Amino acid sequence: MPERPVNRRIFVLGGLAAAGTAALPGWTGASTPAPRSVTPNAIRYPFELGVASGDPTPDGVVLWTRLAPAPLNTDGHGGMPNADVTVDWEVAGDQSFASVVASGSTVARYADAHSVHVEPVGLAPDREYFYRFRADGHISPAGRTRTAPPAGAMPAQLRFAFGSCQHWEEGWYHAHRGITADRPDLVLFLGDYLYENPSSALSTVRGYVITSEADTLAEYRHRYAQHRTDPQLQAAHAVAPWLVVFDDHEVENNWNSTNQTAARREAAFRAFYENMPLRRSSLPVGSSIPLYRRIQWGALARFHMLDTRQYRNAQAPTGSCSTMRDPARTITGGTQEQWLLAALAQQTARWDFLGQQVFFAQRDDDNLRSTCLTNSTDAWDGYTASRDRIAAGWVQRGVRNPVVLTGDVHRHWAADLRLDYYDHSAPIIGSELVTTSITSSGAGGSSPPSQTWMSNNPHIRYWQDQRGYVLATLTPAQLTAEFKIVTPSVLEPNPANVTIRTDRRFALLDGQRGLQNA
Amino acid sequence: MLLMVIGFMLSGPSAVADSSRCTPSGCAGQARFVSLGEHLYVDDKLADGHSAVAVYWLEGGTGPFEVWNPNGNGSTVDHNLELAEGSWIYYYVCLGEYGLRSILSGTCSAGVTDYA
Repeated sequence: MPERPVNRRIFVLGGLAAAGTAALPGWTGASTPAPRSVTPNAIRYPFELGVASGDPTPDGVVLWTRLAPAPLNTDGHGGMPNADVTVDWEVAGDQSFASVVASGSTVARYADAHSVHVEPVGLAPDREYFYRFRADGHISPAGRTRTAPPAGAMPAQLRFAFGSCQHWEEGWYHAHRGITADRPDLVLFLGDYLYENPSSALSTVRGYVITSEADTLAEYRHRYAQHRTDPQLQAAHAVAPWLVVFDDHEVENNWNSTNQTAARREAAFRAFYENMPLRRSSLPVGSSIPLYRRIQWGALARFHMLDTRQYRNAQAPTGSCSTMRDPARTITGGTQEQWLLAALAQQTARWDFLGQQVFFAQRDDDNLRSTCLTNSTDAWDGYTASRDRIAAGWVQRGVRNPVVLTGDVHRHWAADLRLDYYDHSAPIIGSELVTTSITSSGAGGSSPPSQTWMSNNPHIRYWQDQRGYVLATLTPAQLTAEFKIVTPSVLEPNPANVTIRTDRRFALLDGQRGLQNA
Repeated sequence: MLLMVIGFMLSGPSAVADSSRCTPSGCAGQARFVSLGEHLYVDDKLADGHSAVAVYWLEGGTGPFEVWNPNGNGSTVDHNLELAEGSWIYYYVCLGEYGLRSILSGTCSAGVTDYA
């Protein structure tokens, strides 16, 4: 049996997340995170899951929190009473909340697990803001967020981080500490925020309270809550607005449009919405959720956040060329595909990012058209007609700088994209940046692809099996991607013994195709 | 010879628990949390051949931790924690085999959240 964590608290809240501990103007007399005075017959300090923001526009952003004074209570309600609670919120231009620019009240409903999604409007574009909540006399930590630049404006720079796959039991969230320290403008989370699987007995650094597979609303809610008790994750949410999409494990491993009950989807989608900084436009409707959407960053960038789970056909059998290449099959669904292609025809930004879940580039073992020996039929390799339609679509529409951002595979990869991967001299039409996992697969250390495999896939430029994330710096002229890794591993609990460093750096130049070493 | 082991008492402490949990079917094992000083007590209350074990998680994303009482019926183990004022602990109690550090399935109580 593995050693359990040492019995001491080694983490502290990040600077921003702890900002609410300071004596702040306004809302005087209310309790702050420390000390947490408790009024008799009232709710205990309810902001144990932190705060978050997401999906910025030029005049607003969604603000999130969820009240949970006892976050690990197994009913999924976090120790809240069966009653609705008024929650006040405010947005300020400064961290001390001396200049409040927007404020209001909303209701955290018991039926929604006391989650709160506020969408203030009328904020100034391209501005940093701070926000906080108050409930029953308690004040939340302060979060930092920002609005997008105005339409048509060309900002000098955008820094964004992207990550995925943060299995709770398989490592400590050092990567989130790195993201927080980077203070990006945006964070993209590309799926597998949690894993529905039963608790694992091996290679774990911490454990679930509910050890069985999550498949009910209460269990999903509880698992989100347990994740959000991590101070590094809370700090990363509090440092910047997030753009989130799910992958498979937020519902069940490798789910598709055909293999889940409506009841399980409804439970999973509802819990996902309740626990993410998503706008009301992403509110689930029964067993569906309108998740794909677009975030515009002035004239510099667009993020097309895709949903490659909800509308996909069932995965093809391994090696089944006829199924994998069936032109009737789709990974996005026809409506989403047309939504994307229509947008790509209207080029309103210099860089177009497809923020999505699974590997886009081909990975083929033998480079023979006759065999279809791909790494995964769950990825775009299993839906080649879908991939071809989108890739050819951006070529035909003259998209200036198409970049695919990917999670899922627990490894860093970087790849150039082609319309025909079997022809190694075919033109490069774009590039893909694949982030490794935050924690999933733990210490890593698997063998890299062989020389033979790499020679069969010369568009693959980089591979690394360490945990981490990617930090991207975008200017009108260039995208620089830093592939960050956590060393020695995410099994090490003490941040003092952990280094987060750039393992590899690539650049993409405006109007040019192909990854450049940087 | 009388062995004095820190944290082990032959009889229960006088402090009043702020919360407690019993294993099902007769409270053969009990865990009690006292906020003052942040003590988690684990009582063995039945000569059934099994140990009592408390399992807990703490604010800050850590856990589970296990506190075993292998000392037999009538004994109590005092696990003295150092928790920040107002921080939470979530715990339950089970029966188990101390030698294997194995918790017996179906013997665990429901969990409870308490505060330092």
